Amino acid sequence: MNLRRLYVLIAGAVAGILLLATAFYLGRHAGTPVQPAAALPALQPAAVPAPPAAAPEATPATAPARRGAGEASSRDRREPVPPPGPADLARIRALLHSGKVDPKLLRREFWRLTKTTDPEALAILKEAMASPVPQHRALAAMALGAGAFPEATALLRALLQDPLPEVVCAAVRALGELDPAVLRQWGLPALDAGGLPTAVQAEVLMALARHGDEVAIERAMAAAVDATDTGLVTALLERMTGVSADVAVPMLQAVIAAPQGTADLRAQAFDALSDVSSPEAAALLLQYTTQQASVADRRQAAEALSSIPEAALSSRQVCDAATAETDVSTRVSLYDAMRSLATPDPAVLLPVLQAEQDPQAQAAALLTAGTLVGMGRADAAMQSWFDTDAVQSLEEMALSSSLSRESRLRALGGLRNAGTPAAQAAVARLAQCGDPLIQSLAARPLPSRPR
Amino acid sequence: MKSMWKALVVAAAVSMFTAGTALAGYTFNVTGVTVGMSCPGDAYYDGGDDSVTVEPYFDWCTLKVTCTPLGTAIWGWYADVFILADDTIVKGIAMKGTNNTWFYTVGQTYDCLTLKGAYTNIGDTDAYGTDVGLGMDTSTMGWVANAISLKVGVCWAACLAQVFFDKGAKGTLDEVLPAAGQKMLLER
Repeated sequence: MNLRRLYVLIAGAVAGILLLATAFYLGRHAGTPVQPAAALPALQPAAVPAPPAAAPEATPATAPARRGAGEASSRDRREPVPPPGPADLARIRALLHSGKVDPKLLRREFWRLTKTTDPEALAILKEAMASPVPQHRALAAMALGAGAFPEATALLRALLQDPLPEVVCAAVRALGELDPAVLRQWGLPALDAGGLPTAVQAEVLMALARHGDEVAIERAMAAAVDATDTGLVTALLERMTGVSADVAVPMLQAVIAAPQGTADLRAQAFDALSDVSSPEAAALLLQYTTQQASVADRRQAAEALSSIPEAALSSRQVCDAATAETDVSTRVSLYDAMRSLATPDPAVLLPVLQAEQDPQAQAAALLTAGTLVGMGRADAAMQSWFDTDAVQSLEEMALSSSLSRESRLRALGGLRNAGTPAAQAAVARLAQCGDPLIQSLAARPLPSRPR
Repeated sequence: MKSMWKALVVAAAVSMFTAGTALAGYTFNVTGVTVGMSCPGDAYYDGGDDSVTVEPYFDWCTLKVTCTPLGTAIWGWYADVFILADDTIVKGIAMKGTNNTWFYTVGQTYDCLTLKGAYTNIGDTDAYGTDVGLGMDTSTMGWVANAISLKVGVCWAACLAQVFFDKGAKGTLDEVLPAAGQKMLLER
């Protein structure tokens, strides 16, 4: 009897886990078009798009014709680009020698050369390397790095001697992808010898750092800690993409903590930290909103924190920071950050949102409450308080002439995002208010939310 | 056997409840282009205009668009991005292309506070051309974005100026439109 019950329990648990996993997957991927390959409709050749025949001739310049929210014209899969044929190669060669310098067109056509190992393509790239136009030489370097040409390494080594730093940078990046050992062999002695332009130094260090080269990482870190060479540190920060979090976070922390560092450098470092997907980066940003940093730094750090989607921080930590913060702008950003937490805890957030007294920060706090309600992340207490108290406050704020445009739009946003009957009724009243800024937005429904 | 069915029903109910509330994933990987949002929304490849289309469902979202190596493999050395936010206030748009893959962006918002771009051009998408850029409805009421910063990017045909800035600022912006590889930084 006991054994049977055990069997039933195990079977139930396994089935439950499977269902849970399926439901989680479907919930997470809702809205992402996943179609079986066989069911895909016939596609137009998207990779080499037709010239913009449909482009409106409107002058002055304007935004694109309105497309109904939620109404994509078609959701397809992007087709792979076919290798260029003889006619394509002839066209690319003609473009190269036409003297046209349209960056987008050149990028499109040179990229196509990476899809073939045809000797004709290599010949075109060699011609591009000898072009007086720097963009041609830089794109040739990119194509050599991305393609599968047997002579690529030798040709890229030749491009390292180009007089223009932009071309050398492109060759360094390409070589870093193609053959980091060759780059190291050239790059480290060249750095020691001195005389390399700042951009090239940064390119070499970060290209090697992406491959975990300890010498390069150490040198980049030393530049960050010192922070007196602002140009080099800026160039390093601009090349952080693709560097692993365990290298990027300490380096950015060093830039922020450097006594010689400028406010501009720290702002760049805060921004770069928000791009590093790691809990350490978010934790570091939060740390700089709470410790004895300057107001400017706290604002930058909090703003960067609020731009991280699904930040892996505890609600308690962010609440503590907001409660202790005296600067209103920083508090506003911290309230914004609460909306994008991976797992917001409404029970912890509610007392902090309720306690806000400054009108500007209150608009941000109530916007966060309304958004959590609309996202289905509020508990019963938050939902009830929102409908009974917050809705009326938000409606008043949206109409208040003493508040800034930003705060008034935040108030309206809180009502729109919540979407509860009480909030919708308030939005309907605001749609008749006569203030163009509030009225025109209140009259528009938010895009549909497929759930 | 009856108990097993009971367990299954309970598990299914729990699963459905979780799926309904766990609208937690606001990060999309669209053909190798990563779109992170701070609120619910959608991002998808639109074959109609060959773009990565980004559509927030809530007001005051922050949108962050970046390119992965897979994106470079699929898109090549540029990708067109459409911001579809006619009826929403967007707190911030951060378009971070790479050396390998530049973004060309177009679209419309009701209002947008900040725009940051790196390796990003405004306008000049394949489907809409150089005359069409990134718009903000409130610009018709005289409002302007708080801050715009483009590093390595071009504003085509002043489309950004027309819609993000009022006429007074447009004159200034035209004078500082950067060439590729140069930096434009405008703070207001």
